Formats: sequence, C-alpha cells, structure tokens
Amino acid sequence: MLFQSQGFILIFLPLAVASYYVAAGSERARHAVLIAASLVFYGWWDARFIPLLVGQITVTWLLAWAHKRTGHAAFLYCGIVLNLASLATFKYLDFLLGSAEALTGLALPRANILLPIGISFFSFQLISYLVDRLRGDAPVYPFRPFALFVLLFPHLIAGPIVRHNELVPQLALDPRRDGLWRRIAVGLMLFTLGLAKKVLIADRLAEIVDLQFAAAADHPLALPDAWNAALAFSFQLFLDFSAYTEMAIGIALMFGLLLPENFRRPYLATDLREFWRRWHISLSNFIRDYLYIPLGGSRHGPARYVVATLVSMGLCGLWHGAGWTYAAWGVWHGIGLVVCRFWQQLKRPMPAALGWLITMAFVLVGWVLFRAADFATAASILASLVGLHGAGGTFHDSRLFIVAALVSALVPSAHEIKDRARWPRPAFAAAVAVLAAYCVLEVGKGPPLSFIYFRF
Amino acid sequence: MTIDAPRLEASDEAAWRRFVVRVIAVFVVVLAATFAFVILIDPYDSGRFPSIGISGVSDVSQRTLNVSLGRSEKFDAAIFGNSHGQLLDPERLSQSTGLSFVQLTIPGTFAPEQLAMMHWFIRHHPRIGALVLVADRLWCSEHPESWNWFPFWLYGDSDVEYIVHSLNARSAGAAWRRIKYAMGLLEPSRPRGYDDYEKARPADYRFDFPKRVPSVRRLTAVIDLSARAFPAIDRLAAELAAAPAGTPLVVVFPPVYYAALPNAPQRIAELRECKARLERLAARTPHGGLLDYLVDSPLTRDQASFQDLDHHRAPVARRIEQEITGVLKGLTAASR
Repeated sequence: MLFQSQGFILIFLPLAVASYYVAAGSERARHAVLIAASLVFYGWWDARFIPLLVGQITVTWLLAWAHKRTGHAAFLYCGIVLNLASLATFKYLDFLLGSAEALTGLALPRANILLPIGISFFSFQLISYLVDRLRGDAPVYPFRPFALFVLLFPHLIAGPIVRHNELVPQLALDPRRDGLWRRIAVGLMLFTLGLAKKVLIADRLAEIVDLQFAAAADHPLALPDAWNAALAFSFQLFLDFSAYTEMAIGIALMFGLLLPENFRRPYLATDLREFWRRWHISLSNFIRDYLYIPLGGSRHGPARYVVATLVSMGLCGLWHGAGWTYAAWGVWHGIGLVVCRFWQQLKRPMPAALGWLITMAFVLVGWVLFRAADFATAASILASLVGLHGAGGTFHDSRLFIVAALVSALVPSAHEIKDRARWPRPAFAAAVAVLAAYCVLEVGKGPPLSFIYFRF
Repeated sequence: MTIDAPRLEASDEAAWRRFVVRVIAVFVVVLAATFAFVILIDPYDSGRFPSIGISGVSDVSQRTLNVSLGRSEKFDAAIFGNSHGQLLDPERLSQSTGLSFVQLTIPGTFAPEQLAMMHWFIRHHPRIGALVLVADRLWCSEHPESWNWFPFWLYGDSDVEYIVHSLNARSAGAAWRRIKYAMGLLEPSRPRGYDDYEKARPADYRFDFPKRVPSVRRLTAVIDLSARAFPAIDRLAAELAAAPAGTPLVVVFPPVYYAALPNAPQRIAELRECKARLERLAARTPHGGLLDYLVDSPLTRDQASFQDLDHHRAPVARRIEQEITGVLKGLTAASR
C-alpha cells in the first residue's frame, strides 16, 4: 500500500488513526492496533514476506534476551550475522554471483529471489540495536514495543531509520497528552505537503527521467537533453524521498510519535560535508556511528581517515542497490568528502556561491552515476553534459524545473515546520484541505508510482 | 528531537482542534462534491446511474469516447482493434452492408483492451449485425498484456468498480467538459468514432522504408503448436459465446510492409497457428470469416500502400472494406 494511494488516504489511514485513539487508554491495546495496522500495510505488497519480517524481529529479540540472561556477547554477534545474512541473501546474492561470474568466467546459477520490500531499512534497525547492546547502550525491551520499533508502518518501508532509544520510550506516552490537536494538525500539514511534492512534482519529473535515461542507454543525448535528465533526476530523487519522509513523519505525528529528521534542504549546502549533514540524515548518522567511527574515523591519522571514509561511503552506495554503479557513487562521494575535509583544513575559505556551485556539480555527477543503468550510459550522459555529443535541441519543461528548484530551496524541513507551526487559521486549514483533495483526485487518474527509495 | 511543543494554552489547543476539524471537513466536502458531480454528470456517458440527462459527449480520446459510442443504440455493428484498423471507415461499411457501423478501435492497445471494448459493445446490444476485429500479431501472444493506461473499470460489468475509480481529476475534468458541451461551448465527438490518421499527416511527410530487407523466409520446418495456448483467442471465443445468437465475426489481419513480416521460424509458425484458430472461430459464425493480408504479397511489397511499416493507407482500407462487405454478404464464401 502506498502512502499516496486513495485506499491508504481514504480508508486505511482514517481507520488506523480512529482505532488507535479508541484504544488509546490502554498501552497494550493501542500497540496491538499499530502492530495489526503495520502488518496489514506490509502484507498489502506481499504477504509472503511477513514471516521473514516478523522472524527477523523475533529472533533478534530472543538473542538480545539470551544475552541479557547469560552475558554471552556471542548471542549478539549471532544476531548481527543473521540479519546481515538475510540482507545478503535477499538483496545481494545474485549480485555477488554475477560479479563472481564476471571475474572467473564461470557460468554460475542465479537464485532469482524476490527482494522483500524495506529489508535494507528493517535489517539496519535491528543491527543497530544489537550493536548498541554490545556497546552497553541498549536495554532489552519488552517484545511488543521492540517489535513496534521496527514494524511501525510509517517508517517500515523507507525510513527514516529510527533508533530504538528514539522510538521505544515514545511508545509508552499517552497519545492524548497535551498538544494532541497540534500534533494531529501538523501531521496533516506534513502529510499534505509530502503528498503534493510527490504527486504534483516528483511524479512529473519521473516521466522526464525515465524517458531521457532510457534514451541515453540507446544513443548519446544532446546537451539540453542531458541537462534535462540530470537535473530532473536530481530534483526527482530529493522531492520523492523527502516527500516520503514528510508523509512518514506526518503520519507518525497523528499517532503521537515523532520520527527523526531526514532532510534539511540539502541543495542549499555549500560544501559536500554539509550536504551529507542535510541529505538522508538518518542514514548518514547510521553510517557514521556504525561504520565510519568503528573503522577509525578521523582520529587515527589521515591514512586511516581516508580508508574509513572510502569504505563507509562505498558500503553506503552498495546499501542503495546491488550494483557496481551504486558502489561507485558511494566511493565518488567518499573521495569528495576527503577532498573537502583536506581543503577545509587549509583554512582558505571559498566564497559561498562558488562552494555551492562546485558542490552541486559534484552531487549532480554523482546522481547520473546513481541513476544510470550501467557505467557506459553514465559516461555517455556525463559526456553529453559538457557538450561532447552536440549542443542542439532545447531544454524542455523549464517551468516544472523552476517549481522544483523553488520547492527544494524554500520549503523548510519537516521538523522545522513542526517546531514553527503557529498558524491554526481557517483559511490555511481550507488551503491544506483543498490541496490534499486535489492530490487525491490526481492520484485517482492512474496507477500511482512507487517511491524511489522502496527499491533500496 | 523533541516531540512536544512548549506547553500550549487551552485556547491554543482549541484553535488547533478547530483547525483539524476544518481540514477534515473541507477535505471531505470537496471530495464528496466532486464525486457527486462526476456521478450526476456521467462524464463518459456510461449510463450506469441516473444522471442529469445530457446526450452525447465531447471527447477526442478513443479510450474514453468509446464508452458512449460502444453503448449507443444507433449502431448494430462495430470495428475493434488498434491503430492498425483505424482507417476502416464505418460510414462506407454501413452504406455497403446496410448495417450501422461504429469505429471502436483504440490506438495503442493490445488484445485485453480490445476485448474489454468488445465486451462493452456486446453487453449493450441485444442484436448485433457484425463484429469486425482487426487483429495483429499481439493477438497471438502467449501472455497477452495491456499496454499504456487503459480504464478497464469504464468498460467492466461492475458498477462498484466504476464508483471506486470515479474519484479522479480526469473524470472531474471530463464532467466539466460535458457541461460545456451541453451549453454548446464544445463540438460533439466524431459521430461514428472515425479518425482518419492520414489527415493529420504533414504534406511533406515521407517514411524512410528500409533499403535492404532480408529475404522473406518460408517455413519449412515442422513446428507443432497444437498445444500452444492463445489466451486472447480463448477470451474472444468466450465473448462471442455471450453475443446474441447469429452474430457474424470477421477477423482481419491487415497488411504490414513486408520488411516487418515475421522472419523467425517459431514466429512464423505461431502466426500461422494463430490465424488458423481465429479462422475456425470466425467460420463458426454465419457470414463470418478471416481476411488475411499479413502475408508476403505484391500488396505488402508496395511502399505506396503504407504510411509507415505497419500502417496502411486509404486505398488499402477501401479494399479491405470491400472484402469485409463481401464476407458479410456471403459473396466471398471462403476466407482468404
């Protein structure tokens, strides 16, 4: 079930919220409502993967419980290995076989396993819990809130990646506490904002992206078409994913829960390190805390720093998809982060406008690599971007790009909106409602496009 | 990360409560009003529910225009297919056969969409003079799938499905267009659905036919396809069984430029078996039959016959119309 589908907006969400508040007086009952709603939400895609999801949660919890009883860290290592093995099997097995085949020349069979939706997100959350427990930073929670920390449907499929200590304590709070109506109101605003960004802008950009990248795989693009492709995907990815995050945070607020921030207007960043503090923040934090710092971070000399950054970012790339273009995208950003840090250590500040321009050019090149079907297509588009395949033609859909750029630059982050919302005015309420209704009517025109990050 | 705002005054909380109630109320009212508007205006002239009684529609997309045409009592015969059958003129066929033909081909569609269209026509006609199906190789697929967006819910039997899908901006826009049409601000749709694609062709249009064409292969190997499934043909048989008794079916395989004829032995054999099954099906109906132009012939080798590789031009359409008339009148006894 997609957040922007009519079934979700008009039936599932109202029923889930109403049932939750009917049961609000009992922690056990409201948790049961959320668990049931989350399982229905997940099972809507493919009920066959519910046992995998519930199985990973249950086994992880049992191993944490065994660790608590015995004190043997082996239980936790076992849990980490099991979650990684699940991720490796379902997401990377065929990729590894294909890579081995390319290296050895042997004809290897393929598993052709379907990718369970959201596996990268829920596996990472479970691993982060086990690592925190190894560090002595995580208690063993009762099973129900622990299961909800992973299952909670607003973040289950595409994040934000939530840590146990951010969410589990909230689950004990009575959702009817002070500020109930403000939370619901802000939730409605954020949901509507995300819905509009997704339906009215990102999905229209998707048409340009699909067309141009498919064309680029077939023949070299002219300069304007290449810029069309690269800019459209840059805006589409941000507006699509940030829209999902806003809808997720909005829905969670309606249940009295706050999910972490994921984006803070990343295309305003004036250097690459700042970009990563603004882009997919929950993943950046995860990579920093569970990969980069354990690998040595920046406190063990420049060589260790370079290795830690490149390995962390390379794995970050592979997390997005089982393909070498994703890994290359991650390493590209790793190199950029290293260069950026060394430049900043020279204490020669760059004018903000120049810094922004270099950063955005760097990010845009990365997105071409990220989106292209293979390296040859990416190289072809990059060559077209600098005019190596002709400069003829015209840049299409300029107005859509202007709207996308303005929305990307001007719309505050979800948490900024939550913290600043002081507008309970009738006209604004009517505007939010009409925008939401219009989006629902737009969605009804045809099959909705799923969010880009569902495939990661 | 703090979830709760600084403690709110009771008046603030009441204001936020009113805000939420307003958002939900306006949202529900806008959607309910839109839904009622769509159902009352009946934008595609589906005739499913009592409406305000506007007659006809103003629509240019066959995907939706054909809802109205397909159920119209003015017609007792119809042409189905995609753009490959678009040039057959229902007016000419009506004059030559004495039936009243309507063009229900829908460009850019495959067998499932065309079957849905045929189902809709059959459902609304207790007496049918002829069904003409302009088929192509897509009818021979083992896994027929629809292509592009197609509103199956508009043509299905389920009113519930129609209602579930009616809440959308396209239907609301079509309802508004129908009001403007009723007020005389828009022209009515093409009366028999005929849309001559040659009229839209620029004067300097020239198609670059391939200079070198591999020789057309003759099938010599024996490929047994007796067990091969042709699901679209099975569904066509089911539709025909639901049609009024004695409904003639004429299946036409229109020509393509010979460079586009299938060349792989398996494809040639599949097409031959597919044609044979369609021929048997059509032959079971009175004055039915199959007209096969999808073969290597002087016609398919003549570039003047084609607008592009697989779209014929007007003279070819006139010839096919004559031969359809011949079959329906029993003048052409055997399938060609």
